[in-house]
Amino acid sequence: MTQTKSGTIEHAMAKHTKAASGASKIKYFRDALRADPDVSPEAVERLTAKFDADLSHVRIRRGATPAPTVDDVPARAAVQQLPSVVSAFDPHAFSLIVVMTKQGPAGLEAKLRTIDNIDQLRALARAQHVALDRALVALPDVRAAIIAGTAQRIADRRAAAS
Amino acid sequence: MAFFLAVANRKGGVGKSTVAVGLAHAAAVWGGKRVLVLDLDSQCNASLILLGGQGWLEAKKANRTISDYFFDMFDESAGAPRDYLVHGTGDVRDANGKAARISLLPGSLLLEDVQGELYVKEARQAKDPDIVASRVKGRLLRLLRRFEPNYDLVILDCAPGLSFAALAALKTADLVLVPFRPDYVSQLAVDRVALLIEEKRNIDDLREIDLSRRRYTCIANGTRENSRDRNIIDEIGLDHPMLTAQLPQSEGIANAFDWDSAPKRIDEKYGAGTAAIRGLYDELMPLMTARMAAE
Repeated sequence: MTQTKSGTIEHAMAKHTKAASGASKIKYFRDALRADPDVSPEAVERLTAKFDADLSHVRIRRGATPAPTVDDVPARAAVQQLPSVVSAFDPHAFSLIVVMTKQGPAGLEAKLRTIDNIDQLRALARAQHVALDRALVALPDVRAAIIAGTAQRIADRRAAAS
Repeated sequence: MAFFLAVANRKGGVGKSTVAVGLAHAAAVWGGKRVLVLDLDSQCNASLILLGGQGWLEAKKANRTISDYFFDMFDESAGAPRDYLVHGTGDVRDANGKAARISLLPGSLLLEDVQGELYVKEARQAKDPDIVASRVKGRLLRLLRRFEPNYDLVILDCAPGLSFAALAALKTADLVLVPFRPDYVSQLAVDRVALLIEEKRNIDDLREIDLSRRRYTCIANGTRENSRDRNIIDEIGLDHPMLTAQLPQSEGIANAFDWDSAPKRIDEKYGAGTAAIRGLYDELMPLMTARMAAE
């Protein structure tokens, strides 16, 4: 058998890596991102979709964690649901600071009322550097805390520039 | 009469030199202007972009740097400022294939030291530290202005620190361009440089000056097309004048830092970033013209 240089490289790659595309690729990205505690669930889905769109296939080192297995691969139908989950919420869809400054606390509250998912409100606060007490569980309390936190951020910035 | 444009931000790494040199290329090539870049940053990045490392070293050996100029001419003796300049810099050629008309007063690693020496020299004449500082700043300002007759546009690439030279540049500039990265730290940096430029103590005082009357304007640099960056730009734009033009994260603009001994067209230099540089120039030029007319 004649081996070209590139053929040798491909052989070596196949020996130490495993190709992943389609569902197994998505599974790998999602699991890898979920393993990082600093990546929010929304970011996991957003980045998974981004990588899926940009990369046709990847080669994963054997023994890498998390390693996709045939059994782990989700059903194609589940994967196809991904875009609707991903596009569900953007924690930067609007700026808390801008709304607060232009429309005041009442305007910000009205804007926050358009979000009725507590995880999304938390994601919004976290993404925009607004501190939020994790003990809060009621939607009105979380919204009120975000408004107070936004006011605090504006005050902090003003103080820092004094 | 030259227009003095300072490029400044108290935060480092926001792309001041890249923006300064990009505008120099744009004004020389697209505008046919006679451009002078004064490198007031001891990192010397603008000089390295326009001259390359070897060219900058040669200028340094020939004592043609900003610190040589300040030190030699501080007493406002009858020297010739042009002797300190390097002409025909940059690796971009104009539409006729000739080197773009960009002159440079190269930067110097010794700029801070020289300013210290000038302060000590001045302190022999006066005892009050504020008076000494004011005199040093005033003399440097006059030295910066001495290039005025021979150029259409003088670009002052400022250091992030509060050196006398940087303060003189902010004081004498007809307009200050403040590049910033869309991140939360940059908000504070823009606030602070704005207070310095407008000589205000806090944001509330600053707000008393209408955005259209400010001596500075901001440009977002290294932007990505996402809602996070857009939000931060909008937030900074609440308190500061902001150009519509933005400089996106672009390999073309980042690679423009590399000096090439073979001059090329500006679109070859900036690649995919050319349109963004053009957008910045097209928006800034009318603004500069209007300021000039108003003065």
